[in-house]
Amino acid sequence: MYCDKLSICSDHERFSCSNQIQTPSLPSCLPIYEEYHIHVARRHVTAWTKLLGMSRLESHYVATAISELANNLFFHSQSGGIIHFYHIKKNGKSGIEIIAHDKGPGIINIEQAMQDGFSTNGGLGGGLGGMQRLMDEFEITSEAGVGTDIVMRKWVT
Amino acid sequence: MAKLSTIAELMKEKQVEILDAWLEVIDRESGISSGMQRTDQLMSKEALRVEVKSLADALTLAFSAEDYDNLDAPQFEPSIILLREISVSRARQGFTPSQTAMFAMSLKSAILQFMQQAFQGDPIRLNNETVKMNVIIDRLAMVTFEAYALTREEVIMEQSRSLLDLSTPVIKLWDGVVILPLVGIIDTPRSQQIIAALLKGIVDNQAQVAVLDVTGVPMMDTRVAQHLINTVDAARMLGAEVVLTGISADSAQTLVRLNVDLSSLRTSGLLKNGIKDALHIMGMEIAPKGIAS
Repeated sequence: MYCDKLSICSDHERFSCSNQIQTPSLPSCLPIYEEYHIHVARRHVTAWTKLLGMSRLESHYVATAISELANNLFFHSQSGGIIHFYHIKKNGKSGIEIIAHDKGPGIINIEQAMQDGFSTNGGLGGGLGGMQRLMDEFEITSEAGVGTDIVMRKWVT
Repeated sequence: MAKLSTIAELMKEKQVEILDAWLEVIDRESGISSGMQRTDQLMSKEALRVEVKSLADALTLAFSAEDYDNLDAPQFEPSIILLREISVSRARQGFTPSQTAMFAMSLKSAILQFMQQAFQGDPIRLNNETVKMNVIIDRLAMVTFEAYALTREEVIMEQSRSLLDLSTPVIKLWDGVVILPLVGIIDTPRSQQIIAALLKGIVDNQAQVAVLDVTGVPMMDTRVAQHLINTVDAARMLGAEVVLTGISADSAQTLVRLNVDLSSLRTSGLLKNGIKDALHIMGMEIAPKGIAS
């Protein structure tokens, strides 16, 4: 049910991770609504980045970005959210695309939320900005009272 | 033999035979899948018989329910209570889910032959009573399974709590110096436990320096960093200095990208250097024999 196809447009080819690489045990999306799901997501994405052939440091970046992402889904959205994973290709490059969707309170001021040190729950802040710096591409759309969508990509170098 | 008209009457009339048949099915079924411990290895024949007997009594009452679609009916209460108890003890004794579910389900095949005999020549009654028996036992089997799952969850919760205790040992390294090696993920309950363990360790050992080693922490994000900063702040309130060691090169680069500021903490790459720092704070050093300054 939560694995519905996404209608987000892009200029790259997108494959369901589980179809593209022979890994039947790795689902292409994960629900996040318990704190331990954050760590499930991190282990999951690490398995993907290894398969895609990312370096240890790149894998670490992606794993940390997803941890920040999942933290946001768990701590800021009452009902949690869903993270989709896609294997993407563009101009002969291969990468991973991570799409998060939640029906949480939404972010009123994205520009402010992206700033380091901004936090609404007593955290350090820097999670959103950090995600942007850890990944190659980062897009966020949010509507107050409706929810937040985040798309981020990392290409294998 | 008096003419029997319901399955409840049949249960009363033929109780001894049905019990024997039921126990036989349990015995046979439990031996089928290899790798599973047999029921008779996990509990004695006598205990099993007592359990089956009391369940049979409760089920006789359950079968007398007119409105058998409704598990809230009072006739079901004894069966439900008993099955929950049985599931809980099964889950704790190490029975598998199928063994536990099979316990109630196996009554079906045991009782069917008796029903066929009793309702011979009355196919409509046989059909009605079979449907009723199936519905009731299926529903009760679900109760069993729910109770089993709940108990397993409790067991898992208990285990993770014990794991928490195992994973935060505060070790006295030297007079006034304690070390806390952190291994594994740091989530909210864990971080609270780390703070509690460290503060207790500092007080108990009258420590002035605590070495917090994160070599075994797989990843540092802003939340983990926040937990560590909180821990260090709490220790400082007790007058102890904290040396944070074991941040990997990958983690260091990641923390820089996250723009996490750990400059307020005293950090050291290797645990070795952290220990050296800690001893330095205490006015001591490690030197080769004979040339100590």
